[in-house]
Amino acid sequence: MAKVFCDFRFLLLVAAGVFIYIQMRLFATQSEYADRLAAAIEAENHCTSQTRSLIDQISLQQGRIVALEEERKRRDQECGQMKSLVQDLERKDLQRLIDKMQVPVAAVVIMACNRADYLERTINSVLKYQRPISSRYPLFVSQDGSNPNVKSKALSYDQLSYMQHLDFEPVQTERPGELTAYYKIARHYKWALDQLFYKHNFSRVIILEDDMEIAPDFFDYFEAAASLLEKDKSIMAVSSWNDNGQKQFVHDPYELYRSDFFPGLGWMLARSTWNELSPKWPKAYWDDWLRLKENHKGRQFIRPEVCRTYNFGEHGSSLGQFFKQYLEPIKLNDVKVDWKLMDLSYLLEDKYSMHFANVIKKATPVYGADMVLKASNIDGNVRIKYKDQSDFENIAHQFGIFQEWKDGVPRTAYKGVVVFRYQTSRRIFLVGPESLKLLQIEES
Amino acid sequence: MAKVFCDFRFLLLIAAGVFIYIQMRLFATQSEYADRLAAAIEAENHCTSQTRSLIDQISLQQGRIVALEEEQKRRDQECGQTKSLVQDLERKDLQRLIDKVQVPVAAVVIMACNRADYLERTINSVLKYQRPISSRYPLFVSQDGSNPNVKSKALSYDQLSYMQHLDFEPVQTERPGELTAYYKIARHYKWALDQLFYKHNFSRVIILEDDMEIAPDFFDYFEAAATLLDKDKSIMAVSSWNDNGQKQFVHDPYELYRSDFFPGLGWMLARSTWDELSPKWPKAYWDDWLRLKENHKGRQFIRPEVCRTYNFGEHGSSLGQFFKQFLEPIKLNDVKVDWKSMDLSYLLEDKYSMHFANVVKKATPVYGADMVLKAYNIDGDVRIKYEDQSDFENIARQFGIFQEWKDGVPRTAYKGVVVFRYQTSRRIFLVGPEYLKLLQIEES
Repeated sequence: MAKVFCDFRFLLLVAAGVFIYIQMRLFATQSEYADRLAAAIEAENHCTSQTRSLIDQISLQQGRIVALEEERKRRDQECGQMKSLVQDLERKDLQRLIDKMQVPVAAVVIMACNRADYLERTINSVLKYQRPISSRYPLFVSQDGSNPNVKSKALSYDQLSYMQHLDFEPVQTERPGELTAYYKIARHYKWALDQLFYKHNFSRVIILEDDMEIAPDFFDYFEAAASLLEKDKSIMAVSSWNDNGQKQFVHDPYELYRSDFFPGLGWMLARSTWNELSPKWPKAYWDDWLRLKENHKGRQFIRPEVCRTYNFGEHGSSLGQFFKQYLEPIKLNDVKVDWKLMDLSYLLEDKYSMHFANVIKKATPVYGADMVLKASNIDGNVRIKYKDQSDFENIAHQFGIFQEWKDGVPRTAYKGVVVFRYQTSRRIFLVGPESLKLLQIEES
Repeated sequence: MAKVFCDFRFLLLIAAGVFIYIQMRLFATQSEYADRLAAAIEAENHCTSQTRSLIDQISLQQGRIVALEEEQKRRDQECGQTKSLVQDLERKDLQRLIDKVQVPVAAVVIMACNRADYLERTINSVLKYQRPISSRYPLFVSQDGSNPNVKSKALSYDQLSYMQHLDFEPVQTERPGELTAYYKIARHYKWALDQLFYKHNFSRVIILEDDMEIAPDFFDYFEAAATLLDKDKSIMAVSSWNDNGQKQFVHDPYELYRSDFFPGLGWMLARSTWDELSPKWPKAYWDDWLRLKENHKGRQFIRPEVCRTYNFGEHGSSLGQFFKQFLEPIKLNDVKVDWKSMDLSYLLEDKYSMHFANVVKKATPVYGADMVLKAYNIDGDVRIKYEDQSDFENIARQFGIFQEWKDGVPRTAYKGVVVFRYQTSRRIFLVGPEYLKLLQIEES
């Protein structure tokens, strides 16, 4: 009995030890829980106060946004009214220059940016011939941006109206390394032509750049061509420019051509055509864009043999080398052609194809190598056939004319035929593989 | 021994019960802690994610603020350029109207807002006499706001320049129930005069409202008065208006007076005076403000006896009753005074005091009751003494002239003396107590 008692008591001791141990562990756990709870609560409090301060910050920002938007609304209103005032002042200025009785043939716009000295030379050249007929050809200078020299130069002339294109929207170029200038130029053209066709309601606009001189018969030429534009919807625009208008390649100031290639550099557009172009006007490279089939849609352009505009701007978006080779040698017409007396109906679509075909038919075909030399020895007109674009480029290179093609069309070409004078009044026709077929000429 | 054993075991049972109870409580406590901890952690997580979403919102709003500020900067640039363009177009327009050789005497500005029919009548009245001398008095219409009828009306005249004040800043009235129109008018005057004196560099400006016709000798009068302005710096401005210019109170179109009270309603200001006024120009009630001593500082105004402007505007900021009683009966001068031949040196400060005193001295004093009847019976000029402002108001009411005082000065008064014709060429002088003292000193 005594032994049993001793064992029992021992077990009690063991149980007590275990008990105490468990109690200590429980206590420790609870302490840990309490600590963690306190930390969590503190974290939550910290988080809550941070949230509160963030909410305050949001409220402040919200207020600032509301204030900025309110102010933006107000400034938009003010600036909108200011723009409206500009338009009204421009219209008032224009009313002075326009004859109340006579409807203008076309507005003339000189597109300018930051070359005030070039602009002055251009304006003086235009005014020389425009002044006597100013109400029939109201003159505008449209400036892109705010170069002060250009602005004050343009505003110093009482005989013209000044327009200013202000666009501070950043330019997004689409390919790396592109010049933003081409994007700004496209925007400026869109704005200026919208102003002239839609705000000032002109039916036609003649577009010049700030580095162009004009010929004595510039306005008579465009007036005669305006009739063609009216009659023939297949004429997209009329140009005063011939890309191959260098002295050695031209002869006859009375000669006009149709062309599938848009020459630009002094051109007249009708409002009906602008209605079509304006909504889809490109972000950049507007002249190349006009040369795409999807835009000209087979319509053609009228161009002179001898240029009625001369591009004197050596410095600008283009390169100096290009100027030396292609622009400087251009011949500006100096004959005052009486276009009113001329019958230009041969340029209408239904007649011109036949007219042009007849001229080509009479030309002597030249084949094989040394065709430049051969052409040189033939007295009359010469026609040379080319197989494809690279063949054309090779031949063009030998003569020194433009080699460039755009969307399947060589510069100055009509149905693939490029024509230029060579050394005398002799005409060289570079004829494409499809040209004779298109012109319905039998290849004898 | 057995009983002791039984007691011991019983205590063991009790201890076990207590043990189990404590364990349960500890467990419950720990569970509670765990729950609270979980809740706290969940709360913290929730708070943290809320914080994160708030931070995201702050980032978004920050981005929006930056974008709005960026856009605002760009629009400010654009709007600034547009404003600059407006100024240049206005200047160009003005160059056409101004003679290159002759310096203008003063610009004339018609302050307009939204009353196109009144404006037309006013412009036609001004042009009637301004046209032959337009380069000496270039004419402006300054419009507050953008009422299209006023704008197109003003822009339809080739002989004037149009200015437009655009201010969309909300008006803060200082007392409840005030009309915001008076605040806008004050802003408009500040802007327009700053434009004419500082942007267009005129040395003098004649200010008209949109409901005024002018007299045949309006411009000659102001040209003669311009000489006075230049010679005498105590002349603050020259006015074409007499507040007591109703038909029954005027007679002599050759008569001019100095006055301590600013008449307004057709007045000419010099740039040197505007240099002083412009920086402290009031938020509202600019005409009353000009009548405060602190602003005119004892300087005086030239006014005619017979008005050279007629206020025909029945509808506007003022009330119709006022028009019927004080404006409609005004006599507009119809005599073409040759102001060039007149010697106006008596109006210079050093001479006028004596000149005026002599005239007042010759007038027969009238006392006591029935002074209107008594004055009526006297052939020559009459002078009547008033004791104070209320006495003046009583007498003025009997005659039917203006009772109003401003900062101690009755309308039209010179040193407290108000003069008007009464029924014939007889002049009535209402003389203040201070002026009599001056006269008595002179007399003795």
